[in-house]
Amino acid sequence: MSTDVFALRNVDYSEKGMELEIIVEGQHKLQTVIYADVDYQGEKWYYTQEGHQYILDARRGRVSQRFVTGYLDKIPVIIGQPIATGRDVRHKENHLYFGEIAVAERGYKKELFVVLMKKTNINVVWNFYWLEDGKIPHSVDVLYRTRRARKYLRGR
Amino acid sequence: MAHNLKVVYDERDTLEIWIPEFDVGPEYDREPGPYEMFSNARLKEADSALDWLIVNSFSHAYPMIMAEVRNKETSIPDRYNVSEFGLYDVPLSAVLEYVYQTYVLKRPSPVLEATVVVVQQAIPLPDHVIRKTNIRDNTRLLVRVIDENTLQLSKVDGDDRK
Repeated sequence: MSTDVFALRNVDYSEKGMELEIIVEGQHKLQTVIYADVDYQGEKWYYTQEGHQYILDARRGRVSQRFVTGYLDKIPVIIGQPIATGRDVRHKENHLYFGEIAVAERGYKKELFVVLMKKTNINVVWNFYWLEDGKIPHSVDVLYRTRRARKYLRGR
Repeated sequence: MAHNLKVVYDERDTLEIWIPEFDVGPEYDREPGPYEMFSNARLKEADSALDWLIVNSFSHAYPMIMAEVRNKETSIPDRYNVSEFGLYDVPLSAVLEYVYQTYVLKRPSPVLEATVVVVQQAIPLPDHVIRKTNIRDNTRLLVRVIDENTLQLSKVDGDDRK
């Protein structure tokens, strides 16, 4: 299976190249669509050039997170079948989708990742990273959880 | 000993902080750090409270995370240096405050200008400090207020007065 975000199966490239405007903190920002998909509840979201470049730049900044850029193909899988989702209690535009990925760099151990979705006038992937502490932070108001999420919610 | 920190605050309002010397790749096991309101981890058996933290929507999260950090800091002895901010031997809360004041509110953190003459009259500097720093009477210093117990002194650039 391809890990190239421009050639994934089961996502919709029909709007590729289209420019959308997302309103964040009252500011209008243009986003160029790479693909669209729906989340576990059937809600449409976009993966954009700007988000893609941001994730690449941000994750490459740190040695321990660089490997994350090799797993960008898992973003639609996590959003489609999360083990938990939640909303940031401090900023309700931020929705978090938690999922496990078997990481080759860690001996195929399943590790916890989060996709941060910005939900305003449209839904756009805003960030993606490995949760090194293996915990869903207390600042997340959990909206949906599976049995798999239990161990990541310990202490709550 | 204070740990050197790398601090990145970006246009998506995300704050990420780590200790470069412990940024050794994903192969090593981590465990949760002491704070619960944001993601933070440390290498297992490392001697620091945390090696990595990330905060989304830092501008919104600031009051909540500062409350937790200040509350727990009393029992966490770790101190940090962020050389690009001119912060040395400060607690984590001072680093967070600096980022908030400088990048979110876009105003410089409280910096006062003073002359060392008063300090020197009150507490004479040891000879080895004078030799190393070239700070003498009437050397102009910036006094940065780190917290209620900590002041940081640094020479004013271009001040050659003896």
